[in-house]
Amino acid sequence: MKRNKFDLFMAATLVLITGLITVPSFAQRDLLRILSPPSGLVVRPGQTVTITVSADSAVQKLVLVGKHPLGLARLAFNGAAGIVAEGQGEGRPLQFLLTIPTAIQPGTYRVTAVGRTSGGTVESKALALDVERADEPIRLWAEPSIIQFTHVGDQIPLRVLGAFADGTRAELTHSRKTTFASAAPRVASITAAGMVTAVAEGRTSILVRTPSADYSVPVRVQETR
Amino acid sequence: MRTRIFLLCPAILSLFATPLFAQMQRQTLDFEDLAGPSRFDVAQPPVHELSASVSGGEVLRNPLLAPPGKTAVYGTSFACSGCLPEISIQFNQKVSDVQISLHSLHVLAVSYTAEDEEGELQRVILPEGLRPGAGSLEFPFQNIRQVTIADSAPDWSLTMDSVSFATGSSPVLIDPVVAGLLKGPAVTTNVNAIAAATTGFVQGAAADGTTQVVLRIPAANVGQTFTITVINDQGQASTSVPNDGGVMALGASLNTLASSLTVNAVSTRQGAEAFAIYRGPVNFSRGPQDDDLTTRSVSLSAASTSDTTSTAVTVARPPVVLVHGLWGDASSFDDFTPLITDTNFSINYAVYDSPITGITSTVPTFSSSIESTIEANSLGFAYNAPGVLTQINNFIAAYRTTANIAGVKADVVTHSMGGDISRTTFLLKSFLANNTFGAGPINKLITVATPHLGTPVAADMLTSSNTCVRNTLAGDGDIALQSVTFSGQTAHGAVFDLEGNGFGGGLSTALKSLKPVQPFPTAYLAGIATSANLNGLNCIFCNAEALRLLCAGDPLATDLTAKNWPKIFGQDNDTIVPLDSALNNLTGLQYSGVIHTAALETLDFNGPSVLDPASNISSEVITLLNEAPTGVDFH
Repeated sequence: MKRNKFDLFMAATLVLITGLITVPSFAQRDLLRILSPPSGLVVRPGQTVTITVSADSAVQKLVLVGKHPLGLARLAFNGAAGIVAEGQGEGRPLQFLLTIPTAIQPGTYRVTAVGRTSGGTVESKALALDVERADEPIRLWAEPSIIQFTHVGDQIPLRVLGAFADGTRAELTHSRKTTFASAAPRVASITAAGMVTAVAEGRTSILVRTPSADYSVPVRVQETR
Repeated sequence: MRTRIFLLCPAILSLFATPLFAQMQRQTLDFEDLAGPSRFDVAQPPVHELSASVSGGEVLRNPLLAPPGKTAVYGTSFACSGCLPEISIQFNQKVSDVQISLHSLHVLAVSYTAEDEEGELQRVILPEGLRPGAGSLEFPFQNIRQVTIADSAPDWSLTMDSVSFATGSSPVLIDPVVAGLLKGPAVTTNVNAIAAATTGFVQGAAADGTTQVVLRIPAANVGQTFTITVINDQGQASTSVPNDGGVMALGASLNTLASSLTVNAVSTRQGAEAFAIYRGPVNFSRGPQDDDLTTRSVSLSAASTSDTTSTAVTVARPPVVLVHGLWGDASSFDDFTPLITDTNFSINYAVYDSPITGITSTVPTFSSSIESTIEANSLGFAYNAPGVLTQINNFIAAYRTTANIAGVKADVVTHSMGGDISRTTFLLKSFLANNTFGAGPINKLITVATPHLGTPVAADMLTSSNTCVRNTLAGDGDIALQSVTFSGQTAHGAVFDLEGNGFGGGLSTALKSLKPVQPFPTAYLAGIATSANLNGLNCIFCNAEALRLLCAGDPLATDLTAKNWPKIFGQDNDTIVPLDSALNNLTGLQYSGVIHTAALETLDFNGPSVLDPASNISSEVITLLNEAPTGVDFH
């Protein structure tokens, strides 16, 4: 991940922060709120997203952190690129810039504002970003390519991988564009996350689909005594 | 439509008209156990199944024009990248009465190759080919070794949904695990069951010192004596059971394994047959000459007073399973080259990163927003070990199917907590399963930066004084848990299980429960960070500084400096795992100038990580995969 640089101005400001701020009840109001973009926004690898955060003035310091590999967002402040901010109150929301890594796997990534108050740490509700490539795979496959259960109830996760026209490959298991279906759920079921569960003895196949390609994995459930 | 093919030349026909053995058995290859897309895309490696290898195209599953009752076919087309305009079916023994069910839009050219009595191969081209449409090709001949079906049209396309053929005139190798011929953890001595087996025909065995295959030899009469000799790849009678594998009689003890054996044919319901068990070599590589090979070969000679037959045995490497660590997934190994791109190895990924749902509470507590992001990779050894064991067993089973090689073990390569979880699999009742001949599915265990004796960072992460650091890292997906309750069960957190001072003290109950002596040969690789890996922490406009400022007062934030971080461990370390812990207080291979994981670069530690090619650890793992399990680097 590209490293962020801490803004000298912000550092100096934070070092000067002293004193305790009395907060009546952290549980009764959201001290940190992500105002925009809306949850579920589709973003592309390499894209920089502007995220607006409302931070109560009781929040002495805060960062915006995304699930790995998103990491910490940069603070957009007078064109500088800091990381740590301080709460400015609801009327003065903060803007952060989050750059989506180019090598990221498609899927849903949560972004949370984490802050420090005199009463401890506080967090915002998470923002979910749906990272998806603009192109579709020209070939799809899954691993393992064969599933042979020996016990009913056992589970095996499927990994879905795609090859793209530009020569790159990516794991697509968690992409919202990837769907799973079992031809015989009474033999083996599959969740939206790709977890296959042996239900009863028999044979079936799991069909994996994206908008441009499909792949089927044979499944056999045969109890060993 | 049913097309019967006849040769025009009676002289050629008579070449192959030798009498059939009484115990002929049919094998049918139907592709139903293989994966693929519904439409042509890219050529696949050859399909090895039963006594045949099919090449030139790819498996299609659920194609639009699948025959009734079929879900998989094998085909080739101009629309398939890398596919050939012909399908070749090679048999690894002489077969007879071949029948192929296929479909094409064009006239097909058909030929086959058969072996005459002198052992010479004769190619026969069928003069009329096969007319377009769906039909069945029949070859009512014997000693067939190969069939080729070609479509010469510019828009060539053909599919076949089954190939069946009869065997019986030659000895066969049978995988007793697939054929259901185990009694307890040993091969059955029920000769009628072995004689009647119609599944599990394989072309070889994995070199894991455990896998056994049955050699079934058709005999002329009961009491016929066969001397079975292992022939090495130089064409000489083997003198080394460890290098070439050995043979023993049905029901015999493993300590009777030898390079040759004399057996007598017995009466079975299928006729007179003789049997022996072949157990593969203890290691694939016998030395540098094998290090760059995918497979090697031996053969089993069965000599009687009237005849000598030779059965080729492919000796293959066991599959490799990679197991990631805490908060990781399969992508943790994305840079682990050259191993992951080395085509000599069958690489598989065991993962445990599924979302945990139905969470009702955690210790320590997190916001509901963070709780909803908890994945299995934040949970402890006992929760994840069953799933990892299931995956290892499945990779071995899939390897048997796709490579047509008998095998019961895998070489397991782990990063960080993946090593602890892999060791925990041994504690499961199902580990020493009968279908591994009671030996378990792990051949060698190679641990990279595994905290066998825990790490002091784990306990630090769970203390209340580090709440800010813990909550901030949780936003990154790095959720430190003591326990989590969900769906009516409570599981240890991974970080809780990783507690230990790194010298052997203060171990979590999970680490204490692991056997001090490994039940499988284990090699330990450890990283040691240097000042060059730490001096990035001294930055002032960076993420490390952000954490120090945000979480001022938290000991872990205060210690996030080049000077303080090593003091957490009191010994050499890779910035997360102490050296003694990675080596399990034993000897191992040490790599200087590396950090535990690339994810730490986010916090301004400087790479490379132990899984980075610059660490050379991946190359070392390849060396260890070639090294004998009795080698100096294995405990």
